[in-house]
Amino acid sequence: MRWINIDPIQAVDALLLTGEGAADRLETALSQKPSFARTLPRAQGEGWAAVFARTLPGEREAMIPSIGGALPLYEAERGWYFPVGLQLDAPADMVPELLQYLAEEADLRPPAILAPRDDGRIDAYPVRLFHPSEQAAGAMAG
Amino acid sequence: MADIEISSAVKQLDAHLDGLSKQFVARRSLMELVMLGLIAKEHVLLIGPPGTGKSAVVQAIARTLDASSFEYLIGRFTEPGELFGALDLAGLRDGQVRPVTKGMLPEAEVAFLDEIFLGSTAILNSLLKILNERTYRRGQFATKVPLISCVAASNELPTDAALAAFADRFLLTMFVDPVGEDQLSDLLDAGWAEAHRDGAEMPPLDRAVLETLQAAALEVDVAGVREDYAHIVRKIRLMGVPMSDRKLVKGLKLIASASLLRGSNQAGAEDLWPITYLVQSRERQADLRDLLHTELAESRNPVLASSVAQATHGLSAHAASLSAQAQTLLNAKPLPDDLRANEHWLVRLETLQTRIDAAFSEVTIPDDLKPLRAAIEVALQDQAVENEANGAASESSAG
Repeated sequence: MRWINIDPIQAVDALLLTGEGAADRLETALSQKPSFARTLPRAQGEGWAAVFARTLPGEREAMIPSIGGALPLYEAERGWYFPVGLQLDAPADMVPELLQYLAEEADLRPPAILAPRDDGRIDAYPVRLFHPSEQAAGAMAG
Repeated sequence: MADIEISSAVKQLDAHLDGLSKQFVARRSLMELVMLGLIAKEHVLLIGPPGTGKSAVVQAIARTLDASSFEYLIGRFTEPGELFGALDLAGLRDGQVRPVTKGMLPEAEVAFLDEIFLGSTAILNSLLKILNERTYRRGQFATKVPLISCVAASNELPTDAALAAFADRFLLTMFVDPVGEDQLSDLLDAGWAEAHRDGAEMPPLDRAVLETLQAAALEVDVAGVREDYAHIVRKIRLMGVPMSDRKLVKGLKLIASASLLRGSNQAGAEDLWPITYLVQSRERQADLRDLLHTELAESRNPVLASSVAQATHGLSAHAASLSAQAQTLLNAKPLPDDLRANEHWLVRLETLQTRIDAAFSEVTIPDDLKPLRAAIEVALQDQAVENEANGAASESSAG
């Protein structure tokens, strides 16, 4: 599976932190943000953590905080998140089929994050979303 | 003319576009281009399949302008009298050929003609004179017309050479596509809301706003962009794109108008983007966006951001759009005691910063966007300091 660079103009739908203590770093970063940020859906695994955009009450555009060092992701296909500025090197109508094949081969189910490495291999992160307490957003929703 | 009048006119026009575009989904760029045509006093051609909202958008604009308007759906059997007025029978008895033009196209300041290329030769010949010379002639009868801009629509561009030459009289051409699948839900919401609207109309745009901007556009200094514009023209001609001298010269009026709406009376590299709309081919417009990637990289216009985005290469357009959003957001800081609005504002700033950082590095960020990115960072840092101080104060009062 090959990747190509595209203009990085996609809306950011999620942010991925990787490496040691990724979940703690994400938690710390979000704790310093407006309370809305602490209500965003998250996912984490060994050595990685991600936070996903959500709309503000009564608005259409999904919001996500700024976190230094995080990899911005966009939802390239329903449930499949790629790094902003990257796309699978395949005709657009073939991409869903390719992802379906990948899902079956790697026993991976969307939602999932795919991020290519420099050596061409792909890191896949199966996303199991959890929603932190909505309490912090009381002021926002009120 | 005082600068304050111009800046106030620009603000009013921007607010008017905001109000209008809320009634439609994904049609802001179309509205912006029609407004650009009105300010430059040039004609606009909209090409797109039926049902894409071309007529509805132009009708909405015409309804909210303090100007006389005329609209007509032309068919193969449309008679000239249906557009220009029937002959005055009393005049005929006296041997004079004189149409009754009251309420018809010759008395309109803004005209919208749907299915324009279905018009007969007689209609198109009369229209040609009206579009070019602002004169309506019928036999010995001739009168100056007050037409500011004619917006025409068609499902497709004509292939016939004579009709193509007529189409060339429209300086701006926009290709209108159906709303994208990602906006279908918004389209249904807007349609449902429109069905429940009980005739409440937006207040009309003050006539003085358009007149101020039309006059001021003629005063914009375009000397600074002449060389760059000529360079672009040479590049376009090398590409084999047909573009008449008349169109190229008139293109300067669009550049001047764009500059004015950007808030400057000196045209710069930011204002060259309307050239894309001079080309009457969807494919050629797409080619041009790529070919002029470098030349149009600085394109920016806070009032016409959607038109800029459609006229330029993806990344340049994205930068222009982010700049416009950043400017709007930074100017919209809520009052400190409105905690909910402040929180929303900060979340929006955070999101915008994330989007800027996702698209540009410190090296690649365009010059226009750099100070705005810095201003967002300062606003977020100020808020962080304020939050920390509030936290410390509440801790000490609790202690």
